[in-house]
Amino acid sequence: MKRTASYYLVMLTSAFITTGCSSSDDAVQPTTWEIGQPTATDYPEDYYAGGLLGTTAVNTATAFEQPSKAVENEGMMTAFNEGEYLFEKDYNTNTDGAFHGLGPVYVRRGCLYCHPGYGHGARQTEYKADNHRNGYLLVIYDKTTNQYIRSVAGMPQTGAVKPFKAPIDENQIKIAWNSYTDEWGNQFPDGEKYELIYPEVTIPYTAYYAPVVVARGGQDVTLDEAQYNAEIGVLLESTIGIYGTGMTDAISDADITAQWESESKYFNSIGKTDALNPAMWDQTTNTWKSYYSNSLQGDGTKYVRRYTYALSRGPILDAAGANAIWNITNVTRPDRRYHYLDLAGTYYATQSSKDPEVQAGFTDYINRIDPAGTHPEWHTGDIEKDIYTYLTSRQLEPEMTQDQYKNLMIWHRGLAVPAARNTTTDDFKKGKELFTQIGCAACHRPSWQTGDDNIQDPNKLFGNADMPRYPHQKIWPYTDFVQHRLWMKNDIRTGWCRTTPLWGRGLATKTGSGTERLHDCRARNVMEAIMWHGCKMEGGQSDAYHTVLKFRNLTKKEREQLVYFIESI
Amino acid sequence: MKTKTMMAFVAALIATGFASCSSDDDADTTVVNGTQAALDQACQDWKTARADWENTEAFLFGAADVYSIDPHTDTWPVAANDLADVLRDPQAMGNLDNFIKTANSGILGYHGLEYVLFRQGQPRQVSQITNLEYNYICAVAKDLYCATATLEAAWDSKESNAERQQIAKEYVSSHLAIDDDGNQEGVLEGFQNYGKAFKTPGTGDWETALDATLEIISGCQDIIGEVGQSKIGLPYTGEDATYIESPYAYNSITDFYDNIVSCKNALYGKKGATTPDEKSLIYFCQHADNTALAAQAGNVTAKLDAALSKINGMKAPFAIYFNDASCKTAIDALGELDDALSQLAETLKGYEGNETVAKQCQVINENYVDNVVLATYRSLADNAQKLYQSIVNIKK
Repeated sequence: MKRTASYYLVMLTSAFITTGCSSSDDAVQPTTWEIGQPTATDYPEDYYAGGLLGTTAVNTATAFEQPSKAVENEGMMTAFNEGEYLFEKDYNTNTDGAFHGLGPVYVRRGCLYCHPGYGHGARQTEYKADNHRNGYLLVIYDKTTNQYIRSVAGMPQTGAVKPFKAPIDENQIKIAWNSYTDEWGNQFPDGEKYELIYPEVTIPYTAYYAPVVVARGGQDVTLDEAQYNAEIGVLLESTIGIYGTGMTDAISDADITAQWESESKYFNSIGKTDALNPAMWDQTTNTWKSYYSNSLQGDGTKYVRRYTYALSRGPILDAAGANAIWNITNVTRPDRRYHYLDLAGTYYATQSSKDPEVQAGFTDYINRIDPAGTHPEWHTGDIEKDIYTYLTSRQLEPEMTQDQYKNLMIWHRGLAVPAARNTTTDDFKKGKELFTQIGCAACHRPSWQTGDDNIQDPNKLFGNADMPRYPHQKIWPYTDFVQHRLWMKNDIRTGWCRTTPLWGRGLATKTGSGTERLHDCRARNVMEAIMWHGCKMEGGQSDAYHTVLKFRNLTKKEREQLVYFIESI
Repeated sequence: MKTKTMMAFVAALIATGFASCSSDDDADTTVVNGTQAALDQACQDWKTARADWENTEAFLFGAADVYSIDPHTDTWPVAANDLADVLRDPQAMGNLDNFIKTANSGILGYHGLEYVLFRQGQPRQVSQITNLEYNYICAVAKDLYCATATLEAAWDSKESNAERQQIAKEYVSSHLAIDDDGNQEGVLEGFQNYGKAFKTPGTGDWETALDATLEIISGCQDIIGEVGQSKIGLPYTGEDATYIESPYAYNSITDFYDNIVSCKNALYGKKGATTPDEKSLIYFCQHADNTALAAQAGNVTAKLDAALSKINGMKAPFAIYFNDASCKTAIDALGELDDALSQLAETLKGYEGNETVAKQCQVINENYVDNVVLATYRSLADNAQKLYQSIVNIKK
């Protein structure tokens, strides 16, 4: 929940006021206190992390939940509140009323499971969809092609509404955390030690409901157990915070392109011609190789990619949140009147339709979903066919209204970024200096200027009047929106990972979010996260290797100042 | 023992709203051998324990959030189909205590109990309560008690109640990690004492005493915003009329009122306060030599009373009269209270580093932990325990 207008951007805090202050040593409780007047502090520009329109001064437990000034300026508070409810509450299997429509299969019942405190997921030692703070998605892929397997969803479900069954039995999933020793024996030159751990995830063949199928050479290939064990990899990807995505959406496509171009030219100039993901960018021509577009709901317009680790998404209105509110819960809406099932769209439905237990419960289920028989094709009496037709239907009734969806996106685009903390302290200033000096800022680019912020919606639903907007703001997300490689043990799928924004993360503990960092929460603190940037024993040398070398050679005090800065931004 | 008479089935249908129960359903539909008086008492105790819960909403940060106790005990609406499925699931019903620890929160907590105990604002007829439902609400009430005991223990800086301390450690461990067989997999590393951390700057989530004091205000604003803009505002504005909590007990307006009482307690430094306690935030602000701060504190007290009065004046029940003009009056009053607190917080923030302010914030925070948060959670746990016993007593 959040505050209203007047709290924002007054920013009148004073650090060291002593005027008129006198404190009595008497044991007697004073009835008056002399505290004098507060004085204003001139904050540096990087205090306003989300710019003047997108920063909140709230840094309490609800720091990630606040509306931006733009939401209030544009009179969108009611819509924002509705959107917040849709984000905060569990969806249920009721057939009408608030938050209905969960299933038939689902990744989570609601958003907060993965975004505790609206922030990052927390490290887990088991995979349970109903565990609060479990922000993990399972990444199940074919190691021979690096592509997701075809017979489960890209974000595989482990929950199901009866009589349907979960595509993966989560009770069989194991997450082991192994120790890792880096090339320096987990020790700095001055003797300070640290520990590193990484996850090893296993899902046995028996955990899958449908046969395991992969795509090879344009064909779907079903794997047997031995092939599965040898050729399929399982990784974890954690959620990150939602706040600030409206402000990063306001950066122009041209400016993000310019960043890629600049890095491309630099890497070419030093002969590092494989520095950028060839699936995204052509380093020889310094141009995009892949854009984001949506031809299903939209008109196929091309947009620059900027969201998710894999850069799978463009503008925020068709990015992770817009997608998740539908496919994490399988709650349909007017522009998504179908279920999110396996990648191929047939394997789960086929398996379910032939399952005697599903068949036995389907009549009750479908009568509840469609009591008036509006869809006779689901009630033909040929149960196997009815199940398949229902699961693969493109004409499901919308369970979320278009207005609700719009309000969710107003909320999503309206979440402010907490102001940076400690910006006037010497440690912050020194840490900031080191951040640039040793090279962190090369990828964790500190600031951006937003563009005109004309709303880009690949679904072609919303325009400028519908959303809070952030034109011409200087914002401080600390990312270049480019993918790089760290070459970690059990790395992210494909090895390419978009630089994650650093803003606000220091408030994770207070907000109840996951405090861990990196894509699978392997780093339990900032120090570990930095050291995971220094790998070169796992098939390649991290793009940040030389920065980590410099970090290692800082004094203990300097390392602490750098960490302090990162925790403060 | 199972019976399958049509009459009992009809009773179950009325009782639980199993819209989809088929006639060959094998759910146990025998009616509990209980008294109406005992059921009425349980309903009364539900309302008492409910009021206690609403009195905690100004401090949902810390344990209630991190241990997910808020959703576990207060998720709405009830997932009626899921509840019907559980009652028909012999495996779940045979191991209820463990099942509930990790069950979908949509079938648990206050609203899970409310759904079985009430209809149209009144206690149900005891002749409608099946044995399965009885067994189920006993287990849910027990779990609710354990959750509330956990909140008490997590804010008890002196660890004064060994029994509830033990319940808390078991709760945190088992609710975070339990396998399908009911075996605990987790460890106790998650349990922490928020009372101690709040009283001791720099040891937990709050770096300074002022930081913690500002959290008191923020906690109030969190629920004030939710009550005004969402709980009342969304149905009233027509933005979403489907979201009305406690519809079976017709308890919504009481809930709203108790939420704001929670803020009054937090700001006035005492559970059940009518005037600011000497160790309260409001008292300090009113008696500091900054006239602006004093005026802002006075404004908060005026807006607080006005908000309570306007909520009290809302036409009941809210589940029916959510369009009434009295709702708008309450929304506006809550907005003004929120603004008043924002102004107070803004001024206070300017005193970071001021020793006098820090010293008095320390006093405010210690008092807040002991006489607001802990006192409320203790009352909540006591009354949740009583509710559990009342529910057990429904059966002769």
